[in-house]
Amino acid sequence: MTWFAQVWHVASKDLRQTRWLIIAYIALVAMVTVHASGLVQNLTVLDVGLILVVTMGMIIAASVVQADSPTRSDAFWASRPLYPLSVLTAKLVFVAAVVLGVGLLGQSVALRHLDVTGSLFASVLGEGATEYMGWLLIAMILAALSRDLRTVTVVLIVFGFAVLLLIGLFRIDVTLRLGNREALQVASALAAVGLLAYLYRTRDARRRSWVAAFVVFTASLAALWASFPGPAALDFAGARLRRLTLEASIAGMDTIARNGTPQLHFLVRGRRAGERVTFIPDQGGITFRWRGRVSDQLTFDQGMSFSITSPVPTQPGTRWLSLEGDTVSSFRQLRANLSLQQRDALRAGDASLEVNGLLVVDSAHVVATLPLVANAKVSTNGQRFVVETTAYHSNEVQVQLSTSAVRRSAGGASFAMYTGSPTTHALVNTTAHEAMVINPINSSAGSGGLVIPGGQASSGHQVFRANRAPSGMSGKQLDDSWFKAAKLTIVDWVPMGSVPVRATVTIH
Amino acid sequence: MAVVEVSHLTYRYGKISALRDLDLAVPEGALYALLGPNGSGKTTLLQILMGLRRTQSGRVALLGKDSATLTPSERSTIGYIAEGLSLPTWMRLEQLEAYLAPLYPSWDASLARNLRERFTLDPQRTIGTLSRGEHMKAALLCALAPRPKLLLMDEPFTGMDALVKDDLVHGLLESAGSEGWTVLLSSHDIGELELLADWVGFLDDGRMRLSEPMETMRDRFRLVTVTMSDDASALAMPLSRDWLSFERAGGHARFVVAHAGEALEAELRAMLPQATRIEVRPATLREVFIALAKHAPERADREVAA
Repeated sequence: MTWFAQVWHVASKDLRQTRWLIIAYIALVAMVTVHASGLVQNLTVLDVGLILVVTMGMIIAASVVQADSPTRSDAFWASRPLYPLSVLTAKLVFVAAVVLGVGLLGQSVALRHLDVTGSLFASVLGEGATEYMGWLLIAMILAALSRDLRTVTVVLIVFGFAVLLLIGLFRIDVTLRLGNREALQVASALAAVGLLAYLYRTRDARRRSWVAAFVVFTASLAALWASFPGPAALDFAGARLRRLTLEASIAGMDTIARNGTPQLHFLVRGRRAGERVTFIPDQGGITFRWRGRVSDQLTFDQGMSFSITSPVPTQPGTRWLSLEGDTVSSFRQLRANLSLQQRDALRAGDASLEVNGLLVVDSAHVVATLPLVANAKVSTNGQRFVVETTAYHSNEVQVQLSTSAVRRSAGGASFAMYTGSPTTHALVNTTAHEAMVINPINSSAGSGGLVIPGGQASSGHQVFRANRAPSGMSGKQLDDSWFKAAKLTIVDWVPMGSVPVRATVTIH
Repeated sequence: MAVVEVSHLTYRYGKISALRDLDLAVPEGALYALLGPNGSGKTTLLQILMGLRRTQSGRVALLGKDSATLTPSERSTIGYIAEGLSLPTWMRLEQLEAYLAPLYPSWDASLARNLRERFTLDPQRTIGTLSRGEHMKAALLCALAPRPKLLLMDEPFTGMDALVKDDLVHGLLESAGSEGWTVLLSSHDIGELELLADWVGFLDDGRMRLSEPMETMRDRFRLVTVTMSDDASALAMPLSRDWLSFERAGGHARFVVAHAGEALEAELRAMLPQATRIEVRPATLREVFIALAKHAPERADREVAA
């Protein structure tokens, strides 16, 4: 029998041996695929479907290796005329074709159902294949070195916890240390296959094999757990954002003198269209100077941070019917229990306020534009928006929107919850050159993994209410035709960076 | 020509030596019985021969080739049965035969069928449901059906009742005898080995203490019973290093002589004039085994010196 014929011969035997496990695995993958595709919502047990699929895949991979163990001296295959590497190749082909293949098929179906196409489809599948194969190889190595599945399970759990504990105890930032995650994944996978080949060829389960397994296992887990490096474009040093300045002025001098709660008016200059700027004051960042003395006990009444938002990008000349569309400045109350001398100093104009903080800048990115028609759908870059219903009432119009989004996973974050940046929704009527921001009155959302690692999915339902008489209409109402001509514009805020700022108010 | 040739083989489990500078040669067509107490290294030796363990030092050749470089087609001419060998328990016997047959160019389906009938094995039974004896019969079937040139068997009779053992022994004898196969067999069942073997080797503490044809061994080892007159003090201890397994009770002494010549009885009479009676007969394999097992060289040296 030739080398290749032996591969097929052993793989066929493995398929016969594990047929019931494989059938159960296919059924599990099918259920998780249906759940991940959003077709079934109420099977909460499948929220951990990805973990179930990976666990079962690892059990199958381990049992296939243990069926022809490379290290057990009583292994049946070893006393038969089989090429050791054809046996190993049979195991790898089986695991890749059946375990990984079925998982990838489920992942593909889920992604296609979520309207994910193009490069995102390929990258999520590729990432999933690499990451899942990494887990399967870990199971295969453990199975090669141990006598039974129970040992594999115990070692996996103990070792996994030990690595996590080490990462936690020593606060190892795998994101920083493992910038080239894909390279480490490929290297650790090759090392794992190399170790398996060594074990099958030499049947050597002595200390050096365990040491090599420990190294490969640790590298594989680190590669699987490592996160992608953060977006390189983020400008945390603020080099491109130094154009932004914060100005503050006092509003209501009489108020200051009377009860010690001055109102500050903030204005950000240098802000460009389509940018949202959030000011976050430093801790103790408000300094009150009076007659050569300093006090830093003042606080904002209305929260410490606030946003100043530009209109959602629309054509020039568009009039915003709602205030939320364009917030050019912000008012904040300051709480300060001023002493009599401080109030005297304020009255005399011998005082100043200094505010220090950080301006965090996001850029508006129009994700989708949909007509206000039921079943209108837009899919782009892994995100899908569907207008489910529109309801016209006498004083308002309600729009029900369903959303789904798929993103590449970030290593260990495959099992973490996805939190996207909040989006802004607006109705834009290009014919009337008018627009209004709408906010959800009801929303539900869920997120989790797909079928196998490599991607994260989130889905949600939102109900929006658009007032027929927004503030900019001076009491007049918008009719149905205005809404039917309007389009729902969905804007995502993409982080750009942050810049430190300081504003000084001299009180005269 | 030696089908199995082992020279200076050493194998260690950590700090424990299982085989020490071991030499062995099994001639072609021999039915070689490998004897030794528990822990003497028999299983380790057979596993190394079969390639289940790697040699750490020394040389092992099977069928004239270094065992580490045997190709699968060369290995297909070697059969292996071990007490602990795990057959795939999920397979039916006929599935196991179907799985193994393509691996062996010399697989003889009619021999497999004959053996199955002889052993009264149901081909539809799954291996996992077979009794211990049936399991060993199935293993023997799988080892014999490819008509191996060399058959390695590690404790194949352990835990079997007399009927099953008889079946196996006869199956083995018929096949090996008619085909001229070489068989290397380790077992505790000395009675069966005495019937089967034409060569015998004794392994003790990882060293080969004896390896020779059964006939030579029978000629060489004699059981001596001596009855003394009143003065028994002349035979208080062994008088030669060749006297093994020495036992004395009152005026009677019994021992095995390791290197007995034609004139053994006359030599003994000359050595022990007080003896009223000296009986000499060929030692059985069991008596040789016990004598050798009890008298490791170090112990024998100590006893003679004393």
